[in-house]
Amino acid sequence: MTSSQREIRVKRGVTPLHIVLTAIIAGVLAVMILYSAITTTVVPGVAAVYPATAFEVVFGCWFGVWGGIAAYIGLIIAGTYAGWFPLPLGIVLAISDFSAAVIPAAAFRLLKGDVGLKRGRDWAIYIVFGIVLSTVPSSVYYNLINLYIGWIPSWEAFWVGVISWNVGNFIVNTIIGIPLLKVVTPYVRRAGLYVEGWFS
Amino acid sequence: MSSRRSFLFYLPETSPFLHVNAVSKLVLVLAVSVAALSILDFVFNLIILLFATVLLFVARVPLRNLRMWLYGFAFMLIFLTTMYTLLSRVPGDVIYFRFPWGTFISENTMTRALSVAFRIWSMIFIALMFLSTTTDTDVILALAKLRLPFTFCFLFSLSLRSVLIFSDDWRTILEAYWSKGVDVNKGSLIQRLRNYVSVVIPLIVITLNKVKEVDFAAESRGFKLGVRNRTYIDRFRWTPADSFITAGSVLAIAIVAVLAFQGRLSVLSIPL
Repeated sequence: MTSSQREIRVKRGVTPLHIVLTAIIAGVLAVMILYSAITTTVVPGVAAVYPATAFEVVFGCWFGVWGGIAAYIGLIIAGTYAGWFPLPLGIVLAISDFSAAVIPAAAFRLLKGDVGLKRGRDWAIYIVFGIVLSTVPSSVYYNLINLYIGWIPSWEAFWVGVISWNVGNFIVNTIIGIPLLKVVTPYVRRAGLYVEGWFS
Repeated sequence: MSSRRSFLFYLPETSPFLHVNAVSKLVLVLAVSVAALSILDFVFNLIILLFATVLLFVARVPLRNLRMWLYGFAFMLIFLTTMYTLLSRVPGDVIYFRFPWGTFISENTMTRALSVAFRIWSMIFIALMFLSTTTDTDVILALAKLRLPFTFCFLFSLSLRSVLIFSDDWRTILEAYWSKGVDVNKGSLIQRLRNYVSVVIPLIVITLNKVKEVDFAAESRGFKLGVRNRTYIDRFRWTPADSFITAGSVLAIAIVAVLAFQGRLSVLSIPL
């Protein structure tokens, strides 16, 4: 094994490192959400292109459920800072980002895929669960909540929001997610931060 | 005049809400949000918005610091009214215009759009009041007093602090690109997304390095999972004002809950 292939194995079980990791990636996700420059609103509360979703998916792949918790906290912080939604509503809405991170995380762990996208099977898992299925439930959930509180005025606007959400996320999960997984995954493993199971 | 740093801004020490406990402020935020979400009525939602605005002024939040949020408010009003004009089915006695795709404009359309805007903004303003007048230490003490595990308090507090740290890192990386003559915001959508990747990879590497540094620092200072009965250097203060605010907020929530239970409130806006 060469030095570049060497991996540091973290000890099993939840450690303080996981809490620190979650808190810090929640902070960095909040920054990415806040400074996503390519966010053009389609219907109220829904951005057409939301690059941060790709990071949520990638963090879910690397850090398992911790990535999902970070996505949840990150959206609450960013949304409250920027005034996109109030804090109590954010607590409900941010479940969408949790699911966007956890769905691909679950797929890679249950189907024994490699997040470094080394084989055709890994690519298939990422395309199906990381690009397509990760965003469908979250888009329906988020827009449904917005519809119920009146933020989205009708079912027509709801479907505009859902479709644009998914098209935008397919694009960012492809253009941002794939290079990140290919380039940064070896670094995450070498740093001993990769979470192999759900929590550790 | 001395000032204190909250989550969002520096506030003058004379701000009365700086001396209110974070628990009672959280209950106040909850009460305003419950009331705003429970009733969709133009006058009622406007009153709640005015109440939240008055609290912002009482808290002495400098207006110049709220500029970004006020722009957002204006943008949201325009956007929401446009959406309601084009894509809503708010019932009314008079239908002014019917669109080919089935939606229509009635005499109640604009009122509903403004009520929704007031509903959202009253909740945002009250959350702003909380974030503008509360420090991270206040929040940790409040969460600890609510018997939440210290691990959760630590996680929440570190997340908030990380935002400030990584905002600086983000700007530094962008400035490095600009100094080399690269504008990451130029080009087609695909090109901009590709530029975004090149900005984000260094940020992620910096982040992962910081994770290890912070973990070493936290563990070296005795941070462990599941430790009970931690002590704090800061004291949890509770004054008569806190009792008054908490009691008033709880009473407001109870009244709204009773009215909702009796079916007297339009709790949700479900356009079918």
